[in-house]
Amino acid sequence: MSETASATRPRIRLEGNTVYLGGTWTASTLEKAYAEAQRQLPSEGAITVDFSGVGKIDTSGAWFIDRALRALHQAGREVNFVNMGAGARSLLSMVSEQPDPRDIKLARPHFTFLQRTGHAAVRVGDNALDYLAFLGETVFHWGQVFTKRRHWRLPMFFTHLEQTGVNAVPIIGLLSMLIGVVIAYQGLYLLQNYGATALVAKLAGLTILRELGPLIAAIVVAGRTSSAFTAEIGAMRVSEEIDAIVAMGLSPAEMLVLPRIFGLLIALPLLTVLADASGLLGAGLTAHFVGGIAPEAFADELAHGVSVTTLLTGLAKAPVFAVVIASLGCFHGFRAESNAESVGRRTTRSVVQSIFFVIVIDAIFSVAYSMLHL
Amino acid sequence: MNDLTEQNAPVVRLRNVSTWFGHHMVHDDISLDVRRGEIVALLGGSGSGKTTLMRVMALLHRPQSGTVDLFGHRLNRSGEELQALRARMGYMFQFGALFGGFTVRRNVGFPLIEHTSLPTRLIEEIAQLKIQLVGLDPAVAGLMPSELSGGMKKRAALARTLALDPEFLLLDEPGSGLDPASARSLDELIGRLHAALGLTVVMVTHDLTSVQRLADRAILLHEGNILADGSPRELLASEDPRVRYFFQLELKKSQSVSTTMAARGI
Repeated sequence: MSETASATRPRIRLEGNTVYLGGTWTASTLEKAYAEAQRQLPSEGAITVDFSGVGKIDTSGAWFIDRALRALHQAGREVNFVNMGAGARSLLSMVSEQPDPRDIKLARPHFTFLQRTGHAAVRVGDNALDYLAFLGETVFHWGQVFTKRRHWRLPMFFTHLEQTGVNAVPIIGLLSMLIGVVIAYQGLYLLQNYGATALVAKLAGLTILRELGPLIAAIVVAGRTSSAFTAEIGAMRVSEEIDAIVAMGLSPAEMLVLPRIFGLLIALPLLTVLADASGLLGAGLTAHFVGGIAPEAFADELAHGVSVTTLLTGLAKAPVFAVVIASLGCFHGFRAESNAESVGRRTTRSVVQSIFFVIVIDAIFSVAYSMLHL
Repeated sequence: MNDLTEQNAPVVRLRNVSTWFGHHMVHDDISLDVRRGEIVALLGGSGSGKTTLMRVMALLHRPQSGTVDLFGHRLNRSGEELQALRARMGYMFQFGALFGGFTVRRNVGFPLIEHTSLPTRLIEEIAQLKIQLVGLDPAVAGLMPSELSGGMKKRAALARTLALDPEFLLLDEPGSGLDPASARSLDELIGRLHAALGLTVVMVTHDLTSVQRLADRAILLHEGNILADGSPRELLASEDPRVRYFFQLELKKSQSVSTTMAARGI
């Protein structure tokens, strides 16, 4: 191998109408020739390109040379290659056969701010309609399979019950107990000014049973479960498993959506009971150790101050939350396109929307309860 | 120097490679050299470990025992060195493995963007050129992978594999899912690039015509071992009943296809 050929940078030397090329012409070295190649070639006469100094050359290098010569070819100028190796010759002919890649303009849609805002607004409406259609379809399927026990998919139902319910017990138990501790702590601090620390049981009982227990359980489940549903179903879309179910003459709604919704419909109320119980436990322990209130007194106050209706008003929200979380999770899974990015985007949206709607629905419940004087 | 040892060393040298998946042995003590400039076809029945052997060569799968030398370098665990070696090879996956979030042109240009510091305009041009070289319609460059047919994905994947003009090309069933004419033009492209760039190619294939057209060496894997290793002609002339069994099965399949096609007047 000659000294010039083993040089790493591509070299260009112009002498009269002859261009002497040398060095290595590969994708990794080309960058250094870019500035040099901008020089003007002689404007008249035949051009000779001498390849004698060229060592390694690849397709990128061949294109680099070819792109400089195309204009000359088009202008009808004569270009001769001399001292060219067989490899370089076949590469260059392969490249020059192709239509000019610079001519291929990819039409990229460009939208103004106003257009994008409009699109987004329309999309919100479309999505809402789409979601309603999805819910309708699910209810329709539920009606169809309800009477046929064979279509109940009990094993899947129990799998989802375990994954969404049993497996969430530790985190929900711990979180709601901590919330109970916080409520009791703040309550004690406030009530001691009035010498009414005994009322802490009523305070904690009302807040936890009516609002925080159901809310904590629903928000944790929205984070854990709606993301899992979207990712599972989205991944099944990517690998064409959903299409396979349809092609077998089965219903994805029956096989994938119903067991998930019913699983969560059972799991979330139970988790809410758990959240209520451990919240009260946390509050009771705090009242005992910080406020010096005996457990018996705490329980007594709880029994007098908080009615069963309070417990039920809280629990009544759980099934609604469950349907919203599970159906949003499944809905976004089904609407994912078959690429990883889309599955990720849908997962984010299902979690954000689940939490958003849990809180919105909770607010609606509060208004409704106050109108009903509950 | 380093360059010289590299020049003489085989592109891949496997020594006593054994691989297991759980308790299932895939390769039983395989030793094998792939010399510079060879086109090697890996043959074998389904589950005979062809793809896994390619993954071992591409350093995507670490064998349980044995050594892998690539371009004359013994592979230890240094990550940087591995990455530098990987940049010199191109691996085309069976199902394309195109990045779903990028357009085809961005997919093809991606290795150039990451591994070179060329101006974006030049990278776009080179990517576009490669897309055209593999026989795709120029306008395909603007599409997303999900909008492509199986055959188009295959070609786009090849274009991306060729982005950096790697010295060592590993192709996992390049022709599968393509119509015979496209498979032939793909073979021709690989042949031309091989001639022009002095590429070394290892490919897994089930297409015997493609093997005869392209490969100078065929390796038949069977039950974790190399059953036969030689030119396609030698393998076809083999006396070993297991080799004959494999080829006859495969030949019958392609023969029946050609007779059906003849019957339909194609």
